[in-house]
Amino acid sequence: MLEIKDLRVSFHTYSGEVQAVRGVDLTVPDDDITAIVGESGCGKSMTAQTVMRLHDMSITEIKSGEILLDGKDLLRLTEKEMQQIRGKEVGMIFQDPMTSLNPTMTVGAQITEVLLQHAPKDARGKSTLSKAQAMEQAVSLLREVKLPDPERRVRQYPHEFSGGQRQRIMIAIAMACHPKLLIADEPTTALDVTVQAQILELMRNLQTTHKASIIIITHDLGVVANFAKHVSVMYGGMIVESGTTLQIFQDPQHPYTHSLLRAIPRKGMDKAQELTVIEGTPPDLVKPPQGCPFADRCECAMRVCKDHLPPVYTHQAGHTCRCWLMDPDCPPELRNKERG
Amino acid sequence: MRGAVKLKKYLLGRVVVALVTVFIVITLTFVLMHLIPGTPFNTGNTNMDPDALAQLEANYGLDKPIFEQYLIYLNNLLHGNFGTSITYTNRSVTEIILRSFPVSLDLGLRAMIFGIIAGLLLGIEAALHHNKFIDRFSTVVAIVGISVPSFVLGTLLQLVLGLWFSGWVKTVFHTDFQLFPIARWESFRYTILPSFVLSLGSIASITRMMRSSMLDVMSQDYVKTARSKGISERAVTWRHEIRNALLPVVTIIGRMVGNLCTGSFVVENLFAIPGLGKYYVNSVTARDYTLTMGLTIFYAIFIVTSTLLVDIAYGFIDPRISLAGRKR
Repeated sequence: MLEIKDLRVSFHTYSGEVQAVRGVDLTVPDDDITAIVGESGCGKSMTAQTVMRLHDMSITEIKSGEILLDGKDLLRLTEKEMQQIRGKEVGMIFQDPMTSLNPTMTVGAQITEVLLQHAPKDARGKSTLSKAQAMEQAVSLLREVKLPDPERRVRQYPHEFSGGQRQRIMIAIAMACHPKLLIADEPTTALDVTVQAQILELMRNLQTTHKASIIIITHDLGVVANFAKHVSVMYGGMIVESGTTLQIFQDPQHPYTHSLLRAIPRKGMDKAQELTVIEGTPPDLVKPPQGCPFADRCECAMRVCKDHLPPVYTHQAGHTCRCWLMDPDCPPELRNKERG
Repeated sequence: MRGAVKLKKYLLGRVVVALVTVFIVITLTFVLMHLIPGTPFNTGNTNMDPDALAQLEANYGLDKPIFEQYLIYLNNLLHGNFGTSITYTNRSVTEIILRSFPVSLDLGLRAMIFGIIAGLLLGIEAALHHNKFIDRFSTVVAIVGISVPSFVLGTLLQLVLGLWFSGWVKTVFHTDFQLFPIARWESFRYTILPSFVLSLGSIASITRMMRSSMLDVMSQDYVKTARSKGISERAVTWRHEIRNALLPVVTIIGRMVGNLCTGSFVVENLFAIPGLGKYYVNSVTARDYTLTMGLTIFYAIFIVTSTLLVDIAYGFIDPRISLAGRKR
């Protein structure tokens, strides 16, 4: 189980310190799929990369927080210990399959690299896995991700594959050592819609056969609805609403979640009808707002929202929301306005 | 083996193109040489008797129509005959090349090897420690290497290391041994200063190129992928970053081979090295048609060949480039 507690991450730019992640709490249960949704720059990728500690150390700074993987705080591990986690206990898939494979290495070499790295060592510190055995495993991994003709293709280079095929190879690399947790950072964003569905299907199948859990980062609510069991909605560096997919889609509480759902184009929509958009822009995280980050764009914003950050309220079991409308003292007519 | 057949076809095509290139070089040089006013025996002001002059020119066939001269020259070339030098009487161009080119090649190779090693190391270190001391140091080296002419740097080194340093050695150790001799080309220690001076330009450009190429590669997604596998930082650097960063650098190294190995007039002159550079410059001022032509053709062949070799090597280094355009 992965638990993120009060994670705060900043990075330094010329214009100042960007507080990208401002107190994220997230629990990812075992054997399950959790989605983090939000628009660009809301801190979702940063959160995911911090779990792997893959952020650029020279400009980012972890202000506070814990990332507990089965009780072990990943933020306190040394770089050497962290290398034992990466690829072995946590695997990662990136957004753009066209650029995330090394162009000068065969895909076989790229898969065996992770296998050989994490193969158990014998008493003399030599790997118990030979290169030939690793190559065989790479072939069966490619077969598992449904890449046709794996014996031949394992010796080919990334430029000889399509985007969808490359993402399958990335999945093979990430799953090679049977990690407990797979982090997928926008894994389908760069792909055609038909290929998207196949990749998600593949990930779901692997998740059930390997009993792993998946964190999927996306801005696509369609991906969430079909794929994830739990959803956390991020905005302005924090999680504003969290619950099961059913709870979020059927009974959204936060005005931001509402607006997001309203902005999805629907089948049978009148062509003349304009899509609902959320007016305004996300907050500047160099100078993050004191109060609720969404207050400036929120139709239901009250005076309190500008000045005070709302606490996390529990709506139902497993369904939490960071919004003043949830406060017991909030007048009910205001609360109903957002549903209007 | 379809691939091998296609590769042969590709190489054949390249050789044909190379021959055409050399032919154009021959023709152009021939025309340009004869366009320069004066002849080998009369560069403008001569007191020679007109009859004697005509006799001399007739001896060398310079009285014939220019097109005929061109055809005769081409015919000689086809028989592997570069002709005899006009200024260095009784020495054939081939002999001059055979005697002097090895020295230039030796100097050039030393400068290249040193330049490549130093440039790559400096560029890699600069990128790995971006914006730190070594990075700024590499910038200084690059600027100095590109902007300071070799005769300034060479003279300075001769003064500081050749004179002052050996003077100091003499007073302290009472020996005449010179670690950095000022001139001549005899044993290894004679080669140190000229090779270094000649290599500085390549160090500068390789450093800059490698540094920016490394920085570019280091921010690539596949480096993040490599890191996400849990391999050590050293493996990330060597297996993923350096290998990919080398690709663009190989191209400029290829271009340098020709420049460095065909002899540098300035460095060879400064250190009294008996290389080809001196002959080349002198032959032009002396209107030594045969020598200029011979050396130009020789350089052209050398550069065309080294470019071809680099292109072939590129096909092996970068799997995305297939020389024969073959489909797998």
